[in-house]
Amino acid sequence: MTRAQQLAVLSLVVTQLALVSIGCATRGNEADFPAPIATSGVGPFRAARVVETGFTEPPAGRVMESTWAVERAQLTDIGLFFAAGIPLEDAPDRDPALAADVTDWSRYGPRQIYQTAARDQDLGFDLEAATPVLEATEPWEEGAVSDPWFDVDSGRLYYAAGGSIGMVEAGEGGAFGPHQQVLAVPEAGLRSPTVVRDPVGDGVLLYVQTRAGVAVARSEDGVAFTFDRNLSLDLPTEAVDPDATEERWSGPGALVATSPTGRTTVRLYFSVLRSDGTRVIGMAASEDGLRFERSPTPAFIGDLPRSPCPFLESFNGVDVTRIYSTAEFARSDFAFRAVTAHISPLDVMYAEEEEEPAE
Amino acid sequence: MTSRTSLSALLFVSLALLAELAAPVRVHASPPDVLGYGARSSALGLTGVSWANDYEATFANPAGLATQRRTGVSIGMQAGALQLTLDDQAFPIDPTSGQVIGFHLPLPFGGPLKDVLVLGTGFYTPSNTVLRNDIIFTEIPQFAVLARAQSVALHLGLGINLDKVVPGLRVGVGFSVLANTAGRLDVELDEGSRFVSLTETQLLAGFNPIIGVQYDRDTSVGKFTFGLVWRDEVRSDVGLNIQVEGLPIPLPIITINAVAQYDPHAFVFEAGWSPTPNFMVALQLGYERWSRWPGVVGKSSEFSNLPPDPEFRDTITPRLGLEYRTSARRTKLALRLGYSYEMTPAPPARIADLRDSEGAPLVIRGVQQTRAVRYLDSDRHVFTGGGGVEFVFDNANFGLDLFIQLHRIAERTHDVPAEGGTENMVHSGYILAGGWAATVEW
Amino acid sequence: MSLRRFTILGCLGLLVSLQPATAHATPPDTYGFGSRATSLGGAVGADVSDSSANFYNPAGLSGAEGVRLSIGYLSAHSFLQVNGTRSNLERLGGSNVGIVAPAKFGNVRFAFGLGLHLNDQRLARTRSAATNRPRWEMFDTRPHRVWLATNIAISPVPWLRFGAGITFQSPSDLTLDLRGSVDLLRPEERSRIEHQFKGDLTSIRYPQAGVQVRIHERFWVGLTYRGSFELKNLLSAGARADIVGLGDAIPLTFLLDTISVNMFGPQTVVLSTSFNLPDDRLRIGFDLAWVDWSAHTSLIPTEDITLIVDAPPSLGLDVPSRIVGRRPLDMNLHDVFVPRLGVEMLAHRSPAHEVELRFGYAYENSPFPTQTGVMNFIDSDRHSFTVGVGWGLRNLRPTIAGRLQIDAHLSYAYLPERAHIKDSLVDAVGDFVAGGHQLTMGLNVELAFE
Repeated sequence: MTRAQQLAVLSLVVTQLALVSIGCATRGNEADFPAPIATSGVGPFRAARVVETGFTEPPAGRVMESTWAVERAQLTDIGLFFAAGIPLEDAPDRDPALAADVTDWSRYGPRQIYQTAARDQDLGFDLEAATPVLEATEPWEEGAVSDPWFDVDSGRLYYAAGGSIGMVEAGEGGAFGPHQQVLAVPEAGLRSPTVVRDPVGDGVLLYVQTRAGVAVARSEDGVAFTFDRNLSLDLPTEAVDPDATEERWSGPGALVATSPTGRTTVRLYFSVLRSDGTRVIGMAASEDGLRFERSPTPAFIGDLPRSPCPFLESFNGVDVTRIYSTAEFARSDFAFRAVTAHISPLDVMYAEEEEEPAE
Repeated sequence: MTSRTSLSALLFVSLALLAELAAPVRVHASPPDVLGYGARSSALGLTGVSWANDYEATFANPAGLATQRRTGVSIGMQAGALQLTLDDQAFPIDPTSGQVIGFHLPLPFGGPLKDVLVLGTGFYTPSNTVLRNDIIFTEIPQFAVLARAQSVALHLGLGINLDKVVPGLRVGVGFSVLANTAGRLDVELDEGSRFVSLTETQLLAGFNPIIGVQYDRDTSVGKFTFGLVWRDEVRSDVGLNIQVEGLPIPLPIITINAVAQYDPHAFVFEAGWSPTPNFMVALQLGYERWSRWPGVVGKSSEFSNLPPDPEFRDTITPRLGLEYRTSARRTKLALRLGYSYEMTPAPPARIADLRDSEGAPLVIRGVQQTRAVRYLDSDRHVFTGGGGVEFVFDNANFGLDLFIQLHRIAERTHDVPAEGGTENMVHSGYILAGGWAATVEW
Repeated sequence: MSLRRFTILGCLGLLVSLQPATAHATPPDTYGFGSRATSLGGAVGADVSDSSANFYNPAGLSGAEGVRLSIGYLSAHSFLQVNGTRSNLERLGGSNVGIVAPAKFGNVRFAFGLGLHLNDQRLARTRSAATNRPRWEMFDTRPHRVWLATNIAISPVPWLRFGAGITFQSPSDLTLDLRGSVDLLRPEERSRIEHQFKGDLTSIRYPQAGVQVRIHERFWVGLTYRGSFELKNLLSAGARADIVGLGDAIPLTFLLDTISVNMFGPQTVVLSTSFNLPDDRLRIGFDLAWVDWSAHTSLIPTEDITLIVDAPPSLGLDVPSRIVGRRPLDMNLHDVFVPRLGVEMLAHRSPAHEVELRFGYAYENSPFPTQTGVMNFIDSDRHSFTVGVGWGLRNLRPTIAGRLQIDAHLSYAYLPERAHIKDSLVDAVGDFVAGGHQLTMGLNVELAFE
């Protein structure tokens, strides 16, 4: 072996020695903890941030101006549907007999259903761009329509009116009609319809709020529904807080999701009124859509949230659930509820916070 | 070497290894720079910069490795008991013990590299601990220098014999490897008032260079050896961030910062003289830059106050070692004595100025805020002794070295009384230490 | 030397291996140690005699003819996915060093060996297990630690080798005390806190031992044992502070205790065989390892937290009456048998050079059950396919009286996708599927002196 070859070999050895001796085991780039995974939809959900929505005013997660009296809002692929009443210019004084958290609808114009497109730049919506898509025309609607639920697959818009559930279908030019009463149980005071396809059958399931809680009705065609049963959504015993027992479930919103392993479930979100006056959004899941397993933890607590409407999308390869609900932010003025968005998994960000400039 | 004696040597090493593993789990050891590194150096007044040539050289002076022509493995143990008094009361402090495994290995290159490169490693580990640190509030009396972190010490060295270039000249380079600790603790309460925590701890290596040179000169009055070594500052930093979220009480981000282990920059010069092959005297002078010590503890959040400056000063330490060697047939014997004067870097315990988060004096409503600093330390007189026996065979040597040390910790009167006391604190004490090392060379 | 004396020494070696308080390190477990051994799928325990014997079978050290110095580098890249999203596993890069220093006393061969694997990033990392953050347990944190082993070996007769040694690992123990004041209105800027703590990284030592027996001129058998260990981290934190900013100071007590097992290393027994054709033209090795994973204790920590705030009701602080901690859960792991196969072929031989081609395969079936409950430790079976090449340079005198061996390897591991379907529909994490690939490459240079 020539001297040059030997030197080359020794250089290789010395280089390896240098690699070993210097700079080893000192901190460089490193990965953070593994990201949380949440495919079951139980949450926890976080309120959308200001940088994601463009709205700085409370309540946390607000996605739209709230000068109107907003009831329920549902995000769909074709925009946000919501029910609202516009404040009257010569509104009467608030009825003092009403509870503090109840809207005095005599101070507003008739409730209608509106639609507004999502903004391009963030998760917010422009109230001024909202257009009415449905108003009460039928006697059984008793002058007001509310609680919209648009089923993208069928193009049908379900809604609550006069204690019944109605439905209109999208026609030419996007207009909805005719008004059909699809479920009426006069003594039940039906509200908040939410329609999903039956996970084990061919028909559809309709979840509604009744005076007794949350119930389910079934239909083969999505037009004629028959009442099936009241749902049992009790908390597991070990999760019951004796200081804040659950008094009422209301405002259901549902979706059908397929997990990464291919298992299909119905996920039901609803508002829970507790004995201490607080409200949370609860969650339950079912494989057949009829018998539900209740999550022991709330999806989120928020500011007295109601009427959750879930929206499932794939964002950067991750299944993300957004829940649109209404939350209270004041009780002294006309409008005291605003539409908010909550997001799960927690680490999914639709916009990043800008770093503060260095001093 | 007969197979009988070979087996005896192997048996001894095996038993020594067994003793290593069976060491009691009772913990606590002093760092090697208090008791020394290796049984020979510890017996010779903590000298070695001019003469150490086995694993001890990886700490003392890696240039010394270059004189080795044999491969060797060493195993040893050391232990020490501290008897300290503060205001005539016994001050409890844990005894120490630790083990060393070391080796030296001449690299058998040929040609121009023949007998040039020698590798060495020394691995000291306190019994059952890797890094022990007690960082306590400054007003609590503490022996901040003696009770420094008990820490693993890993030394790697390469000796380079330059005898072919300059007769008698050797250089060495090495690293002292110590761990820094970093970590985080994120605590959160979820919606169900359930506690969720993420904890992470990381050990990061710190590589601190040691560079040394040795030079031999034979004269008519004997052989002189000079050694000079520079050791970089060695510190083990602790950094732990604690973030608590979801509690009804907002807490700041808590930063647990501390210097758990600290050895200052050191320049050490040593001269050795062997008038005859049977006798050696080594005289050492070491400079240690203690003034750079930042204190053991940092601030606890971004805007929290800093504890008082420890105000340590640089030290100069003289050390002396005497060794007498004799041999009879295949047995070599050595007797060793030594003395070291370990000057304290610490000022007396005192009332000191508190500092704000930027390090400036903390003044509130025109009044400088103060805090007692009760770091206890004083000059140490270290008397050492020991011996060694080595059995020489045809192709292997087997050696056993022992040492014993007595440290006299000078009495010191401080400038501040103990908490609730009226008389200024007075401390003094002793350390009694001993150990052994067994070596097989072939 | 009599057989009786060999037996005494052998028993000593075994005694060393039976010491309690054992430890175990993992980068070599996961990615191998040394390019030659890794490219043979790790099936080298029967006859390994280079510096990788420090890991695979310390008995092999006494088979070294002369001093061996080995240095190398390994880079492992994980392309593992959960639900189609790539997991954020770090690239693992690390250097390895191996030293074998043999001696011959009469007919008895003796050797001292040292093996070191040092990762680029850190000596060690431990992370608590968060139930909502499924992690690849075998690859997320386990390989992130230094591995250091020292061994001795003897070969009393040419057909028999014994070896034993120790490895070091470190769990930690930390007690933290905080005092001071916490400002309720501007906690970051106005809080003034001080801390003291006692920390202890304790060392535990782990034995390994092995034996190699030449049954026939071309047939070796080996047996290797590695002990088990458990790394526990204890963290105890207490804060006693005053809450200020709203009138009178309010005393606050915050206590936190966590005990977590961050890593468990199972005891392992490896039975190895190797067969050589004449002139070393072909070598086939087969190893079968039994890994005692069923002894795995819980990675879920014991956590307790207490918060006491003596605040007047008028302040409206919502202090939870009880904070729910965590308790360990049974991991339900099962033992596994890991087969490894390696084939080495001599491709070229001349007085100056020698080139060898190597192929290896290992099947590591996962000890983790499907994660149907609240735990979320991801693992899948692992099929590792390796190829390697070795280039030996012999004519290096006078600088090197011996051989320079340069080895390189490339390993591809396939982890089939595994579905984890939860028993509960409302599990906090939910169903997930996980699988993927890994690519590992390494280079080693070894000086084998005569």
